[in-house]
Amino acid sequence: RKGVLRELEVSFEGMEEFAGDACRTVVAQICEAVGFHSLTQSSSDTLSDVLAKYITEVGYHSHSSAELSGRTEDSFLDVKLAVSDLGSSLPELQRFMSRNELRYAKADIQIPVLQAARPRARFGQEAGGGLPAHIPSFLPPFPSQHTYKSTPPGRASGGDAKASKKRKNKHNRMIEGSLLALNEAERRPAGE
Amino acid sequence: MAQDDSPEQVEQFLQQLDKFHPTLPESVTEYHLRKSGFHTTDPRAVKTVSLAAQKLLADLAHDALQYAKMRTAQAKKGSGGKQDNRLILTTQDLTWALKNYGVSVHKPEGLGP
Repeated sequence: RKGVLRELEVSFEGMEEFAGDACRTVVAQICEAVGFHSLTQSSSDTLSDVLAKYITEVGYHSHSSAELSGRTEDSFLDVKLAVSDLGSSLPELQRFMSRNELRYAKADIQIPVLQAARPRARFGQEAGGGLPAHIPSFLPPFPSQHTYKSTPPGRASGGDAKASKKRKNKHNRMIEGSLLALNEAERRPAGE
Repeated sequence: MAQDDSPEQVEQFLQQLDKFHPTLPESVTEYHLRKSGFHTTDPRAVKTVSLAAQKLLADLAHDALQYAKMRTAQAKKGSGGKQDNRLILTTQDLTWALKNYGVSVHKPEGLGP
């Protein structure tokens, strides 16, 4: 599974929450590994924030260095530069890895399952036929026909004016009646 | 930090990186990286960022632990009888540790410990 976000359609709706939970779990794991028995809620929140902001900061610095070199895609060397700028270095990271190889051998957190891109509905599929020549296929589908085509309104009755008028009046009376009842129920104090 | 890592050192680092599996899931790191416009097709770059972030957390936790141990050692000397062996990471210790990294934490007054 490659870490390329463009190939798969990733929905970011639940990602903020998941990222927060993942950060909190990693913070707790690291604190436990270092030797703490527990941590306060606010410490946990603070460390998760620091973690998230640090990652974003590294991303910003490495992307800036890539842009300075005229590239839009960041490379490993950009990250290396950013890590050095932010106070660490490759040898330091190497030492950390060798000290903690066994401890962090396996990630306990489940990665969210990314779905393959669903083919979007294409224009013309609804009509079920081929597209007219002047409409390219990459356009998003039109709204369904009834939203823009005028159709004659259907008549409930066969055109009997008297009966429909009676029905209309009855309908109005029903509405008025229920509104009145609602008003009275409000005015009457509860429990009476 | 001087940028005179030789290509051999970088190679060594990358080899070790292959054997290392960050606790932080790749997708989470990528999500936060994306926020600043970072985009890469190299998974090693993302792994390095996860590694650096984990190292930072470990360093912070380690420093805070030292502060916490100092405080409990002093408390033990004072009371003598009471033995509270549980080490809890408090905001107080964490703020001290973060200060060394240039991160200031301000707690609003009036809230709990």
